[in-house]
Amino acid sequence: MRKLIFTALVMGTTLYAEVHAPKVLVDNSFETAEYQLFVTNTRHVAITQAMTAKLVYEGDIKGYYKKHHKMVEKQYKTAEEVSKRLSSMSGSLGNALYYKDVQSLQNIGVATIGSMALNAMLGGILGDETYVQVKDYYLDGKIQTRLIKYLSSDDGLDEKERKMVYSTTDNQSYHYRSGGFQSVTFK
Amino acid sequence: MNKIVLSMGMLAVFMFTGCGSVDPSMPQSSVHVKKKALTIKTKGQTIFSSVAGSETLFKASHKLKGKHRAVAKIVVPTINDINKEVLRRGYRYYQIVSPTQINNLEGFPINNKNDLAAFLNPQTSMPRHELSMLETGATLMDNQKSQSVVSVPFLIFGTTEFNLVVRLVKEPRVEEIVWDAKN
Repeated sequence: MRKLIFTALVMGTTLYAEVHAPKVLVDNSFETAEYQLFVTNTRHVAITQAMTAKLVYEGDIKGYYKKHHKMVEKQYKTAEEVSKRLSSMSGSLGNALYYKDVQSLQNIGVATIGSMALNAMLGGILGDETYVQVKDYYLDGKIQTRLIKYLSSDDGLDEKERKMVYSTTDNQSYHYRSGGFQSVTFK
Repeated sequence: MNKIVLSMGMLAVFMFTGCGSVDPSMPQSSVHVKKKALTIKTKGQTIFSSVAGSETLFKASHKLKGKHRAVAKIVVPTINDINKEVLRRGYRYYQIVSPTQINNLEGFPINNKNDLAAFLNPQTSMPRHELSMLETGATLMDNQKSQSVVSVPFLIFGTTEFNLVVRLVKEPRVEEIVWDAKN
């Protein structure tokens, strides 16, 4: 009997998990078991107070893909026009490095549009809850960098909670679970 | 006896349902993140082959003998080798264009090896120091089928493979998501 109680007490203290969560999340009754946040800075430029931010996109990953798809498709059309004109001007240009680059882009383009459709279709089955926030940062009217925050979560987060997560960092990717935060690097 | 078992059982239930204390001294709007550095000791072989009719595309295939579920062991050496290859070909920036799940051209935002390894294998980045003993090592996000881009063999006698297609980029625009071979 004594042994049982003693064991139970020892077990109790070892199993007890203390929860550390940032105040901003606790105060606002933030409810999720797990999420991962990935921060991408396209030009590796540090974000400063002097910079002004312009929101490009915020929301579901599917919407972002659709928007991105339109942009990419536009680029392919331009590239296609250029390559057609170039090849009609001179046959020798057909072997030039630039032409080959355009050609390779077009080849990917076909694959991209195909897989994009597949992604949109399978997203609901395979997908977890994934959101993105895309922001452009300007200094004196000139674009400096683009910051993409990719939030992947096991459970649905509402808009307010997502905004809170985005506001936690500008430069650090991390994994949240049970109130603990960790970031990992490799050599 | 039964009462003790019942009360201990209830105590355990309270503990594992998250009735722990909350530390209010954490700073606002910033996250205290524990940083962890891992060294990858295993190394397979990365084979590069060109894509027909293209100067800027090449395939990278990494093979490591055995069954490896911890995909960081495959992803990190592959990216290290690709960085060297990209610099050797006289470029600095590149994009991953295949497989689809991590296609930067389609808008997949991750462009560094640490984040990619953590994304493909969430366990490696999990905050174990804050977990109780009974919480499992596998994360809820490990169930995502969408992240299985490394082909892991069924048996330990097989070879774990990671196949990528990389596109070299001369001068990326600001909005383009590119990897930096020197970073």
